[in-house]
Amino acid sequence: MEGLPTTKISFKLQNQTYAIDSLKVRNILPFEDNITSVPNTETYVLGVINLHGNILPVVDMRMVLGIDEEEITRDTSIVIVSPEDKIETQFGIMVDLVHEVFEIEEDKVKPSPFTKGMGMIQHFEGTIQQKDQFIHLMDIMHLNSQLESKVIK
Amino acid sequence: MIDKFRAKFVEESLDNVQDLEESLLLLENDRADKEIIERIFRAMHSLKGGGAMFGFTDLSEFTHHLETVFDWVRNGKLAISDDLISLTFEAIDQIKHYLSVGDLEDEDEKKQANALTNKVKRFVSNPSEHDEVELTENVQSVEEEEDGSKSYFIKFVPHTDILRNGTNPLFLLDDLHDLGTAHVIYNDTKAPLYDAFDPVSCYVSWIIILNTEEAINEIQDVFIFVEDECDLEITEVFEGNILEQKDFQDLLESCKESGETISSEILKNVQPATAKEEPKEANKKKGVQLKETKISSIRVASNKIDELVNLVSELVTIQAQLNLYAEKDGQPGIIALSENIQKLTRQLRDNAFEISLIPLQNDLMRFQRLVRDLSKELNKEIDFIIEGGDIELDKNIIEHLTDPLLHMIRNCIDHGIEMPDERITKGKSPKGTIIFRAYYEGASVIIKVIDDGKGIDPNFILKKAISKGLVTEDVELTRKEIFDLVFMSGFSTRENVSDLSGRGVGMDVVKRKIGAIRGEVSIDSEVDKGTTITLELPLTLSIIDGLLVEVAKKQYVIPISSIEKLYPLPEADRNKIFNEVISLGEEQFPVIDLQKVFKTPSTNEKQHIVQVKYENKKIGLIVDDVIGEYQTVVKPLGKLLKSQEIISGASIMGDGSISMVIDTNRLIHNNWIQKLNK
Repeated sequence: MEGLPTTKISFKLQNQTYAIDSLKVRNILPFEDNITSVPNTETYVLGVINLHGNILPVVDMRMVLGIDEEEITRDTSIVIVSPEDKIETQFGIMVDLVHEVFEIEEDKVKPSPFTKGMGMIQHFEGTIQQKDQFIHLMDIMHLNSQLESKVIK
Repeated sequence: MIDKFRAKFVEESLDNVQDLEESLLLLENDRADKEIIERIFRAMHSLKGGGAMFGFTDLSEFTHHLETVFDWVRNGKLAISDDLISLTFEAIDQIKHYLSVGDLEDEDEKKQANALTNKVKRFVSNPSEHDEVELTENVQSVEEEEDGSKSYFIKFVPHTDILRNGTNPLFLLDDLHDLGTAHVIYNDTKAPLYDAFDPVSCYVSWIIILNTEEAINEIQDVFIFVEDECDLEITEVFEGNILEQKDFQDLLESCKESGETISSEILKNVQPATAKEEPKEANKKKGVQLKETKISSIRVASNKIDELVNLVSELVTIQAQLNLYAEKDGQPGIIALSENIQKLTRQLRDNAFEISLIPLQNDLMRFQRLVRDLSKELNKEIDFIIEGGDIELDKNIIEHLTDPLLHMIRNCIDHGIEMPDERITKGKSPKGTIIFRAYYEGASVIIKVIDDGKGIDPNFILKKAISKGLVTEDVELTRKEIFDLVFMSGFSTRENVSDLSGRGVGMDVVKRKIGAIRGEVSIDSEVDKGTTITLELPLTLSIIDGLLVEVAKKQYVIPISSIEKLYPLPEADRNKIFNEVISLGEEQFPVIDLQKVFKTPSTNEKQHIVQVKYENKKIGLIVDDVIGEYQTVVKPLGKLLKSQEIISGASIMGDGSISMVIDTNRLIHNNWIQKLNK
């Protein structure tokens, strides 16, 4: 596995760039005003959307990471991720902007500077330097289990 | 590829194992029943054979020893004892283990398995006899297989030009010989005199009397390539081996002398010769019946059924849209079409749901086993009675039902039923009874688990709840409400935690799990008379009839099944709400403002009250607007919203928007708890 390139999808929140494994991404949708809010839920759960007849929850990544709220723009998107290969596990994450799809060799990944994590994300997979910017790699499985553990509490 | 076969084998073997367990439980009650022993033996035999074929060597070897034991039992060399039955149950667990992991690799497990194998072997201790047994067993199994055999009359008359295509009819005869034992009679009377003889024409025909276990289509397959080039008659003429019948041999003799050809009619007259054959006959019939019932059902992967139900659910939604559109459009042609489609969709839906229903029976095995094992362990005597095992439920419901039911039954055995001597002093029969009763009631299925044990004292529950701080001391509760306290988390009536049931996870878990499948649990009990736990379950999970309502511009669905009445709430009546209770006409009932529950900004549009049942009370839910009835497909909200209790799911509307389905019981219950806490 070492040195083999993996494909990531990067997105922006505020002025930071993050990336997740592209294999876990099922869909990217523009943010429209079609989220149905669900009463009495955690604040970071925006609600649910109807994607091809399936009902999927959408979480606000800003709140998950504890970043200030920002206005919804034309670039705001929902990335549908699937931690496991089942439709029941799919959910959407709202991000400010979906940036690009890129390949990265495993050995280019450096340890993440956020040793204490950020908001609900306790650890990042690592950080890559691309040109003059840093991209923080996020593990969808970790995000999923963090979200779920909150729910069970 | 082989993995696929292995999976199939495991699946089928699990059926066999279940059959084995079931038979064993029956055997325990009736130890002389030959038929059951035969069934057990057969199940073991197929496990052994299949195991060897699909690479479950350990399984095959282990089952072989077990089979030997039951062969002894079958032949009357060994009596059925409690030990034997217990050991066999243990062995069945081992077989299950083999089926799940394949051949053992872990050393500890191997040791355990060996110990068990030795135990099994001990039943047939004498080694010299052991060999002998194996021999007889082989003979036995051959005989047994012959039991299922039939005799066929085959008349094979090839057309004269059959040889021109390169067909050699003799090969076909060879193939028939491979299927079983055959008696072949040839007929060359059609052959012309030498001058007219054409060397590439076929003048011979055959009559074959074949005894085989194969089905008739196997025989037909032999002739599959020459079907058009011959006249063929295949008739089943005899159950069993006609070739061994004396009548048949006599008949053969006489035909040979008279030159008469044998026909299927003559053969059908051949009767089984001796009385000895008759029990065999009976066996055979059973074998045949078993086979037939197997063919009448097909095995389908459950995810395919899930998919079918999903698609049908989708169709129901779309159909509702079409209906709406047709009504709006008002074209008679479209209306008629949409009505027809509605009819079909409904039938299709009913059919699809029926397919996904499975009888409770399959699960009951485990409970029977549990009662047996646990009562032995605790030295209690318990009769487990099942009523309504044929009741069918959605398989997704049954999947979620097993654990709670196991827990409930375990509770009955552990806490409910007393020790035999204690029962005698109470003037009860030393043997306790647990009744498992299932029946339909309207659109729900009711399951009751009834024991005649020591029961629960409501005062005790109340005291306990107060001491645990679950309710305040001055609270006034009805009997039912007191029993409901049992379902609150942190409530466990037993002081000493036993290793069986009182592990802190108590009835609250049962309640939650049943709630997850939109069911309700209640409990009732009388001291020294016993306890009854009642589960009320929906027939299916995915489709409900709902009432579409609007709260703060958003649509919600309230299940019709829980609705009692609808009331308009004109402005003038709104001041009749006092302390969350409304008086309307003669009636007075508590109301819950959904705007408050959903924490939406309060508007002045509250126009309706939907009165719903909650246990035996009626409670009003204040909504902004009632839109209408709607048949809807309930979809889960996904894991991340599981903590969301008052919404049981969501439903996609005709225009693609989503509306939440309200779980009224939960909503009211939560509200009630909040009030109590205040």
